Amino acid sequence: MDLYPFFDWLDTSLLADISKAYGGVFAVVQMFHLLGMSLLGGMVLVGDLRLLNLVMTDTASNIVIQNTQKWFGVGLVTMVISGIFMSSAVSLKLYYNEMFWAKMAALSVGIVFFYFVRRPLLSGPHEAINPRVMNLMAITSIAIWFTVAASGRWIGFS
Amino acid sequence: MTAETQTTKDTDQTSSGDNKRLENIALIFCALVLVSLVWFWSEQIADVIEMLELAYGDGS
Repeated sequence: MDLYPFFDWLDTSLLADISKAYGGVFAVVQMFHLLGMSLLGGMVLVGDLRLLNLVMTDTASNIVIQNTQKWFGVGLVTMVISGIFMSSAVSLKLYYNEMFWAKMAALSVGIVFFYFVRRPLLSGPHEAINPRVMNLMAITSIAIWFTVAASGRWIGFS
Repeated sequence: MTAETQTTKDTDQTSSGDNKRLENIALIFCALVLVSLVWFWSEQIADVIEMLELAYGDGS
């Protein structure tokens, strides 16, 4: 599926006009993008490090996971909405950028992993889950979101 | 054994079976993702090393 028409449309859309013409608006949206990313990253780290028994060991992992999942969603939505706006400023450049597609692939894998693998498994009692599976899930989750952040940063250098 | 105890036992067995299935899915997913990420990052690091060697030589 070729997504070029979408990126072409985005490049000439109202969003692109605003993001290109008003540097202040772009900067504020970028701030929200970074806030969303730090919220998401924080929730991933707290949840996964708890699953690895490295932090907050005096609180049940069910409670930590339950609380972090809600804020993970808020961070993700903030990141995606602000990201679409920011990408409108350079949409055609991004279309030809390999690292952008690496980031999108990692983001898609991360969303599928979070909502279709991690969340359903962790919604039950954690005592019933094999600890090795839980540790592996935590490491995979950290690795995926590290890749999303690092490849996103790499876009600026490639 | 009462009917209620039997139903509870059946429900427990079903949820344990579901858990096992989810655990297996998670295991396969994690293995595939981790292998892909190791490959991806090793490619990126190899590219950077190649670029550094082109710029500064390979040190020999």
